[in-house]
Amino acid sequence: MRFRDISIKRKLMVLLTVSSIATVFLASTAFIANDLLEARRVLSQDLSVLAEVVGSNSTAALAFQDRDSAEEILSALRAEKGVVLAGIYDSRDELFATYVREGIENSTFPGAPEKDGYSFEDGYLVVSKEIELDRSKVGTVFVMSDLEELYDHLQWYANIALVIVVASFFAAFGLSARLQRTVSDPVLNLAETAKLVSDKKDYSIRAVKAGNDELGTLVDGFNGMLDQIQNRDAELRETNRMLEMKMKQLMEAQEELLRQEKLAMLGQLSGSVGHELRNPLGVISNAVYFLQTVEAEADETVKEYLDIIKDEVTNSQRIVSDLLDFARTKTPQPQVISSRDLIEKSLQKCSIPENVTVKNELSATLPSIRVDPLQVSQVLLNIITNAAQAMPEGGSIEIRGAEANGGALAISVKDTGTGISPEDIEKMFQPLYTTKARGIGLGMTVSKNLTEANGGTIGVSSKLDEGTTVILTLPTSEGVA
Amino acid sequence: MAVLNNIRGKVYVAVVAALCLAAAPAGYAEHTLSREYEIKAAFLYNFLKFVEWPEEAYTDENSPGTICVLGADPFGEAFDVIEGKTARGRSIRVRRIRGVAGAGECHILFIGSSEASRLKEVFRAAEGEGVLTVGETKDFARSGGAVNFFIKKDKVRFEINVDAVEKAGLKMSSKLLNLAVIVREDDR
Repeated sequence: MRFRDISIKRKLMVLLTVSSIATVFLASTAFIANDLLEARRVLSQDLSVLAEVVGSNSTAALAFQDRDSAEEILSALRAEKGVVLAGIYDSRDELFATYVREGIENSTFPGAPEKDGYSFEDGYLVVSKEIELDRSKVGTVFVMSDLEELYDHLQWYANIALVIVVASFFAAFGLSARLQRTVSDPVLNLAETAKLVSDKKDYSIRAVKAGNDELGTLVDGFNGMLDQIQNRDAELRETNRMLEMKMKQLMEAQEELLRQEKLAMLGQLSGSVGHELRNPLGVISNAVYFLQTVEAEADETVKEYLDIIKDEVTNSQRIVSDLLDFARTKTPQPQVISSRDLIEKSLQKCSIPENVTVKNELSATLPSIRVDPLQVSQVLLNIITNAAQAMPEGGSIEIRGAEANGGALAISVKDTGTGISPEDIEKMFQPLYTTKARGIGLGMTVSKNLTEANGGTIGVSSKLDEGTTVILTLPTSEGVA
Repeated sequence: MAVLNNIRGKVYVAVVAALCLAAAPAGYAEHTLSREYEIKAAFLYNFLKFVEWPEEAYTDENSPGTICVLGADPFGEAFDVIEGKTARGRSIRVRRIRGVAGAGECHILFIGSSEASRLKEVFRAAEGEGVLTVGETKDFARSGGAVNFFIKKDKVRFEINVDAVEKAGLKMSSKLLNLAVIVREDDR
């Protein structure tokens, strides 16, 4: 796995740990190097002092040329384990006394003493020191020490450094595991938020800002982007909604247009058909009337059939009348009339089946209205007939009147019939819509047209199996005046 | 050979050359009896460096360290090797004296074997004068002398009577004592 592919947590931990180890390693190396130099300095200084002491002690031996004594003095170097070779040269630089550590075999002394000072040669420290007596050089001390002590020192420091590096590795690892969170947590949080937004398509989610560092800026930028996306999303939705609405309006307008066209055609058709049928129906009606009058003594069957013909002609005439009314709504001729009278007259014209009772709940003080009496009468007739037809099993029709706001009279016709479903209510004022077995579906359309031509409104409320209420509002004479 | 740059260095070279010549077969350190008195002269000079005399032993700061030879002089030209040298910042003077009368001026009094019979007298005269008596006769130190030369394995060595050194009011370096055989008067 490549480094750039590992998780940011591990990356941070690796970086922190490696940095710490590198630092500790460098520091340890520097300390060891420094200490090594210092140890070398101290060692050479110690050996110089030792040489000085030996030299000082051997002044008399040199002065009185006592080799045994000089060698005895040198033999004191046994105490210094590092010293391998030591020698005293006389004033003429000739070897005067020597010391060789036990176990050292190949001992060669320099032919002449070196200059005052020390040097590291081939793993040995060599010190030369002039011996002075009474301010004159009487000889030179030569001391050679191995560097075991130095190496031991180095070994010891290397061990300590190793322990420190190992310890700091664990410390750095542990600390970095905790400390990396300050950086990785906001990043992970951001990544998680991004995933959440993308998964849920919810642009209202926001990342939490932990601080004002670059990550904070990133979070701000991220949230800013989300703001923009959210706004754009909302705008898109709104535009979409508007488009849908307009589309619906367009479709409705188109439908309306089609409907108008249909209506226009229908109007033409119904006008000519109605016109063509009215006269024959009038002739048939007259003929039936004549037959009934002339054949008053005819047998019951004939009478019965004549009645049937008469009923059907009346029905047909009503359809024809509807057709004609639909084809051309005459301009209303409004006049002020008593609403009660108008309603009651209209009621009389209706053929109410025997199983239907009519409850006239009109009060005597209803205001007079200003409408075309013929047209409104036809509307009322339509409504009441419809109510009666909605109750084939019988029921009651309740007619009420009340003053409404804005100078209007509201007339309600309530039946206890089958009721109309909500879908049918929507369509009941459309032409050619009917739920009846007989009828061409123009009654309510004509009623609505006539009512509106007279400045009124018509509305329906219904519940299935409970009944229907039609409310007709008409302008009162006062309202119009 | 930077030592050639000064006079002292030249003197050293002279000494070295002389001694080398003398001890050519055995090397410098193997001084032979034939050069006995040159060595003894050098030793007498070195005593001036390892023995401390009281202030009153010198007339002033510039007065020299005096080596006196009493009786018959066995040194001959041997003192030439120390000519012009200094010890403890003082120049060196060698005097030959006939009798103990002049012993008071001496710092080191070498008593030759010719005086062996009247050592007592000499010691008495030197007593309390701050004089380091040096001899070369058997029992010299045990008789009350301070330092006595003897020959051992062809080398000049010396014995020291520390009581006598002390009585003379002198301080002797331990380094010197380390080289010597220490004797006492009652060791006889």
